[in-house]
Amino acid sequence: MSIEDEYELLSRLELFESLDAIQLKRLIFVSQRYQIQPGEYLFKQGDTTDNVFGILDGEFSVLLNSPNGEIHIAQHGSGELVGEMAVISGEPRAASVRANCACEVIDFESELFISTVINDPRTAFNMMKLLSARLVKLDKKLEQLSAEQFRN
Amino acid sequence: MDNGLFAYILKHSKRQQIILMLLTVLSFPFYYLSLDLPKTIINDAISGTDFPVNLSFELPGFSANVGYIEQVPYLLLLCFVFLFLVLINSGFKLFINIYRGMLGERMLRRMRLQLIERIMKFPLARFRNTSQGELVSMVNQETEPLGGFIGDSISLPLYQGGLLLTIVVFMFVQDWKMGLAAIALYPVQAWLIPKLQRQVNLLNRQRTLRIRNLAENLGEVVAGINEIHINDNSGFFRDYFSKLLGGIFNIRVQIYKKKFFIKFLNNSIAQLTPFFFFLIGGLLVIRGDLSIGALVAVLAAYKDLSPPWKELLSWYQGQADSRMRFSVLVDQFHVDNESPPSQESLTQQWLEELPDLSMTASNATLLRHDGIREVDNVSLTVSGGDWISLVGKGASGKSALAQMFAGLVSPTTGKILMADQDISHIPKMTKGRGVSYVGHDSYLFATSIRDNLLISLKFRPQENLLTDTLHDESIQFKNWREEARLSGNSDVDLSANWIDHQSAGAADENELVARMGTALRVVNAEDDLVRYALACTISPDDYPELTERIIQARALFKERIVSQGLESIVEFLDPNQYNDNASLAENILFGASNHDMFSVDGLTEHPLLKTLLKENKLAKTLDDAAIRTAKTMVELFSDLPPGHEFFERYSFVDADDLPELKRILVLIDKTSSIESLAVAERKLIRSLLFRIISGRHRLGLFQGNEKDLILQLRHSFASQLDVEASNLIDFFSPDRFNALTPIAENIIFGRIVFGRMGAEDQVYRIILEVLQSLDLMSPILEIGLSAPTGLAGALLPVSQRQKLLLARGLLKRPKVLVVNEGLSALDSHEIDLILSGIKQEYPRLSLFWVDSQARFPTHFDQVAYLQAGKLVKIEASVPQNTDSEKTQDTTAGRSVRSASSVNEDEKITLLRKIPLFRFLDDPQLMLLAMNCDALNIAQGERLVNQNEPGDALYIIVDGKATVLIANGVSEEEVGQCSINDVIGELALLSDEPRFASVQATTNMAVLRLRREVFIDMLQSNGEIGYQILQVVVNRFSETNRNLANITRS
Repeated sequence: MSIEDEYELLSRLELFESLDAIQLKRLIFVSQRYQIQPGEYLFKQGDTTDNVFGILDGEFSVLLNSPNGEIHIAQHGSGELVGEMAVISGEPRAASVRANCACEVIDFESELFISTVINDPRTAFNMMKLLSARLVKLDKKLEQLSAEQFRN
Repeated sequence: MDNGLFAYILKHSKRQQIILMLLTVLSFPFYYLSLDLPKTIINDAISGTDFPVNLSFELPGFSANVGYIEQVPYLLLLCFVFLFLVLINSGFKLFINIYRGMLGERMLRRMRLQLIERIMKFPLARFRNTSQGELVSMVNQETEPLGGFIGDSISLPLYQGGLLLTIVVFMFVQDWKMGLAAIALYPVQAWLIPKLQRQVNLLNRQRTLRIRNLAENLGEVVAGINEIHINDNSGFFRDYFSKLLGGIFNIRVQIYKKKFFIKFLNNSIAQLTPFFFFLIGGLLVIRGDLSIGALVAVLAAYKDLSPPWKELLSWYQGQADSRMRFSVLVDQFHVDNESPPSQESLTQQWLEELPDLSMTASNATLLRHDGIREVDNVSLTVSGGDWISLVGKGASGKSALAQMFAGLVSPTTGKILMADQDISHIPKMTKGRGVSYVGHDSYLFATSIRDNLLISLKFRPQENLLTDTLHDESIQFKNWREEARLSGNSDVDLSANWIDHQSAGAADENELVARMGTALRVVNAEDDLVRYALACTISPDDYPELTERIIQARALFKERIVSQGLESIVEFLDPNQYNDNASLAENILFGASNHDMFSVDGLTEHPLLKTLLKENKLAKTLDDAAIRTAKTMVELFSDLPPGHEFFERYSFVDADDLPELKRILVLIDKTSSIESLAVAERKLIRSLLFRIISGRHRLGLFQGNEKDLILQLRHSFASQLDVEASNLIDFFSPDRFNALTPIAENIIFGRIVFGRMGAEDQVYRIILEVLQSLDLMSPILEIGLSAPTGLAGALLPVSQRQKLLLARGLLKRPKVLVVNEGLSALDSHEIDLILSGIKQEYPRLSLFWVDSQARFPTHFDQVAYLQAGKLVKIEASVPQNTDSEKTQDTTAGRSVRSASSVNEDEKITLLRKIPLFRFLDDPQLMLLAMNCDALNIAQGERLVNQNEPGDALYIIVDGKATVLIANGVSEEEVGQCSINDVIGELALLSDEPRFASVQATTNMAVLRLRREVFIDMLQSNGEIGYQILQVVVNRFSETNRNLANITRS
């Protein structure tokens, strides 16, 4: 896969829809591509890394540590972003992300990612929308779980 | 030093001054003879008639008759005697001058050292208003003229006075009237000159102070250079200095005027005297009372008379000036010697026998010079091995208190006790062994890291503790030592070992390195140093053994990589393989060189390489690839501003080259050949390609058999280079250390594969494993320790500086460690780690930790809270953060306000409380406030309905509401909200349906921020967007955590 193919894939992302082609290409160009083995972690909950990954190929699970082992809370596939939260919060990783199969990702360094996203207000807003939607989903899940717990 | 200049001179150089005086006195008879002889030559030998002369000497108890001698031999004899006397006189002068100069320099050396010693004794408070520049100027420049004067101080007036006297006596012997004429005007001068001189002295004093002031200001400018750059103050300071220099100029001009007026007077008066000679002498000769020879001799003597007189006058001027300088200097360096005598029984041994040190402050108070109590009557005990956190705001006195416990500052009243002994009675050396201090102002010297760490162990020279190599005391060294003694300087051996290994608990040099390693590991800095060392290049000539062992490490590294199945993360260097993770240039050269001919640019134009490329049919392919690369670069990067971080990331293209590349591409479009371009243009475009690492840059340039062709090229290039050129390249070889590449690369002997997650970390881990199993950690660490620190540690990042300072404090294994916000650049997590490490490694240590809040509850035994210098409370351990106090219900029993009463300021206050907006500043909040509506809601009305799309956020200004969730048929109350509560915050960002309804239970006043308005604002102001994004994400993490908590239970 050369850089052109990577661009083709990532340009379809909702986050990048309002970004200039050249800006996205540049971001991809200066970023590193990685191959990930099945079962390998992109990062683990609590890590202090803060890069963002664009999934080029394969599928990842988002996992949360609990005393009963990891619980699966989401799944991300080709053309999606993972790890964008730590970039903005600066906090340690809130969850782990693990490859379900042989995967390929592009690794955006946090500063580069931020400067690309923030320098374009529309993209920044897209990012916010994306996150908020996720937050609402999560909140709901939380609500559900607490309700279940309450009932039990 | 405090009793004036002459007392000082006598105290330290009496013997030398006496020797000088004796020499001086001894020289006078010869001088007198040399004056007397010309008369004999003229009167007897030249004008004489009575020949042959009878030569005879008559001394008491001895007489010799040499015989008769004719006129010419007589003249010759007398002339040679005269020549001999002249030589003796010059000899005396030479010897005396050198001796005097040496004496002056010795005293200067002594004085400077004493001043430096005094600086080191200054109490800390003194440095708050004494600048470095001022001190430097005083020790360096202001002492200089004093040194010159001291040599002259006693001998010069004696010598010149003696000369003067000799000459005057000589004149009086010739004729008393002539003598009188010669000195007739001296009284006038002696009266007038000091008067004028006094004015000059005053001016000189002013000048000294102004120059000192200049130095002080200059020092400040250097220290504050950041401010000057950032505020562009250079104009302001230029003007300021211009004024200072103007002031100095004016004083100087006045000094010149006065000084040269004095000279003028002296000269004029001196010229008057010959007038008397010619007049009186002439008359005497005419009357036959004086021989012409005598007059000539007197005139000659008079010529000699004026230099000593001038010298005497200038000595007089000099001594007045020097005494003034000396007193100004001594005043400035005065050190109060009020500290009570130390109790010598409290030796290092006393300290060592104590298992740990308890520290007590009893009624300790510290008064600042302006009367403010920095520490106010604090009493506190910390038992040995306990850890205490001193918590307070900036001006709470925590820092001063910590410095008291470190013994850096003495309390004005009250006491600090160290193991029940008053700390002020404990000898400095003992105290220095027991206490370490790491402050925010601790200093790294501009040497190596190693020397900086060892500073804490260098407190006295060690007498052959470890090395039994007795220095053969060369004559040179003996002289050196003798000279040092004469100047009251240090006579310690030049190569003396100052490092006290015992304090560090090390028996020898190797253990010491291990101890340093431990201290560095505890402060979490060892890793940085090892990494630094691994990035260093070393030469087999300097480290024959180490480089040999690194080759062993190379083999073991490969073995480990293979045995752990990690072949995919390292691509080893192989002479017969193209390395995808190395640049094209590296692949061609397959070696390292620091010669320009073999740099990337140099290679593109290397004649042999060019020929080979043509033969190999690669030239065209590579040129095409270069053009394609250049096109991509121009397309992607040419509209980025220079200095954009992307350029740094993309190592092979430089922002400044892009316009040039663009131009070159246009040229190529016309000629379609790179070869026809100018050399610089060719280099630029071809070097782009040469820098490409195919595994990293993913441009898909080489699709066919190019790589094989490049391998062939590698071999033919290496074999066809002439010997001289070959020697400039250090070729990669599996069994040889490459001196031009870093140690790490020598161990890896390959390239870390791009595109493998965490490959670098894994490689580093294996390198460490290998180093450990081969016992190579210490030598590698030593290379790291030799890294330079720069002035004040400027070459290191602040966090590393602080870690090293702490490591320095730990290395001497103190019993008390005071950390006065000395780790402020580290995050809590790392501090926590370091504290745990300290506790484990140094269990008997008492720790004083200064902080702005109570942190790390598990580590501290006590927390002392300070406020305005007073100890407010002591807690046994740090409590967890308490929840903020619950808001009280104040709405009961009063009427609800109306929405119209909400003004803009109040809106801002309300908005600021919303977590989503907590990072916004006032203007941004103002913007939001202007876009909010204030609404009145009647009791029973619904603010939001469940399942309707959210379109606004509400803040309750007054009134109450209930939160309802529909559950099948009925609605259930799940909560209540009232004043200041926020409803539907997330609706601003997402149009997800409301998950509950909110119904007013009283009349309400609310503030509404509509989604559309909010989004408009966000889109027009990216900054607000980003701030809010951060909050959203934090919320996200929190929800995640809650989720995890719930699943746990």
